[in-house]
This record gives sequence, structure tokens and C-alpha cells, in this order.
Amino acid sequence: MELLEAIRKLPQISSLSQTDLQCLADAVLVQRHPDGHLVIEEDRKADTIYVLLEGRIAVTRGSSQRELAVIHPVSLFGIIALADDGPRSASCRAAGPVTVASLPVNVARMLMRSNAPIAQAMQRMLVGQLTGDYRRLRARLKTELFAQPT
Amino acid sequence: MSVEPRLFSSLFEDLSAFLDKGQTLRLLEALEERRANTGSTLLQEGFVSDELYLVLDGALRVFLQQAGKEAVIGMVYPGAVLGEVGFLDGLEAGATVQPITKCQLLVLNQDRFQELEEKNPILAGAIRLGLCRVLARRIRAGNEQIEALRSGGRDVATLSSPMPQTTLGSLRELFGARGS
Repeated sequence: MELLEAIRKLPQISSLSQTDLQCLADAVLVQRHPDGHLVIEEDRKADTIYVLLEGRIAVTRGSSQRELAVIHPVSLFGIIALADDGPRSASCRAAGPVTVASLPVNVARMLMRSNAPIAQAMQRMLVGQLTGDYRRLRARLKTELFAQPT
Repeated sequence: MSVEPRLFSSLFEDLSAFLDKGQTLRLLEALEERRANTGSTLLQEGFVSDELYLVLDGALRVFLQQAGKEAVIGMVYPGAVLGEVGFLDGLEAGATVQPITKCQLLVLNQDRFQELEEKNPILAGAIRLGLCRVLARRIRAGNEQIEALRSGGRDVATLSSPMPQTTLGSLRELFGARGS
């Protein structure tokens, strides 16, 4: 899949101009990985954000590698690294061959400082991901808390 | 605003992570200082709030409610940021927050933030990134809470990074700021 055409499918950046999209596309590295390749390793420092272009990625946590989710194309993952360079909270492993675009956080931040539309798009993506994650987490916490005897 | 920028940056480290000194000063100018007493409610689960709260002094409890039952999920102290989820996505608060002591707060409302964004989008972006950092760390702590509950633990750790109340006084001494 052509990179520009693929990243335009991300709703948060679909409104970027062709020039800004090209700017973003020029900064990413596109790589193919085999089945089982570990793209993100839990507990490792978060320094890169990713877009899954082709294939599927399994999100797992803990030594038991409990599966939390499956990522389908075209999706962003690991974007929390933009705001928090702490350890990754889960692993992301290729479930079959995958094509992934990666963008180092320091490059993303440089782009954000120099390009207002890209900065706004990145912020929208980050806010959408984090607030969604938090609300899902809060719902799970509520289920766990009120399911237990008090 | 009586809060010294270095004190603010130390107390609200994650929120300030992407702000330089000038930006911190401009944010401080946009914040309103407010007191809250026991018996009041800062945030109510299920209701929309257009305010972000930064705890300068005091202690508050954070709890969830369901079918007449309450579950306290955390106590928060100076340095805590409250209401950031609703502030970022415009939806309802995920928990109820009530002071358990007299509290001193800094408040940023959505209108002031919008003004700030129109005048200085770079500053607004840095604040938003800081709030995302606060939220990312809260999610990490929340995941640990759920793991603890699933493994049979009944003590729920706080969702906000706790800071003993004495820390504010220590920081004020360190930076030579006067308490109000």
C-alpha cells in the first residue's frame, strides 16, 4: 500500500494538506517484519510511535502474554510515547507478516514544533487514544471493584 | 498569582514537562486560585465539568459510586491534577472528588484555555501534552490497580500520584515562596 494513501486513512490526520502529509511521510521509516517479530517490548523505554500499515499486531501484557487486543491496519500504536517516555505498558507482536511505519519521538516532537497542523493532528491522536484508554480502564476498574464483596 | 514558577514546576512536574519558564508564567497568569472546603464536591462522576484542578494544598478523596455503594479509589494531595480527562475530551467526569480537608487549588477553565489557545497555540499544545503525560501515568497506575484487584488484593492504590501534605511546605521553603 502506498504510504501517503495509507496514513491518510487515519481519521485524525486525514484533514492535513498534501504538503503536511508528505512531510510526515518523509519522516517515517517503513519496515516489513516476519510473524512473531516483537515491535514493542513491555517495560522497555518508549521512544517511537508506530502506524500498522499491513497485517495484524497482537497486544499482550505480563509474563503470561495475556492478549489484550489485536491491532488492525491502518492504526496508530505506541503513541503514548509522545507524552510519556516511561516504560511500555504492553508488548506488541506481529501476528503474521506485518508492514509498520515508525517515527522516533524526538523526530515527532521536532515536527510538532515546526509545523502547527501536524502538532494539532498529533495532539488529537494522543488525546483520543489516552482518554479512550482511560475511560475503558475506569469501566473495568468499576466492574472489578463492585463485583467484589465489600 | 502568588505561586512561584519553580515551585509550580516542581509540584506539577508532569503537567509542566513540556513548558519552559516563560510558558509556565503565562499558564500561571491564566490560573485562578480557589479554596474548597469539606462538604463540597469538585467533580461529580457522570457530570461534565469545564474545569481543571491543580491541588496546591489539602487532601481530597476520589471515589466511584454504583447502586448506592461507594468505592474509594484514591486520596490525592498537593501536586495532584484533577479533571484532566473531561478537560481533554469534553465528556463527563470518571469519578467523584471531594475535599477531606480545607484545600487550596489552582483552576483552569475551558474558556481561559480556549483564549490561551487562540493567542498562543504552542503554549496550549504544551499544556495539552503535559495533561496527556498526567493521564498516561494515571492509566499505568490504574492498570496496576486492576492487576492487584484481580490477584485478590483489597487495598486499592491511589489513581493519582500521592504526595504527603508536608511536601508543599518543604517545596515552599526550598524555593523561598510564601504560603498564603
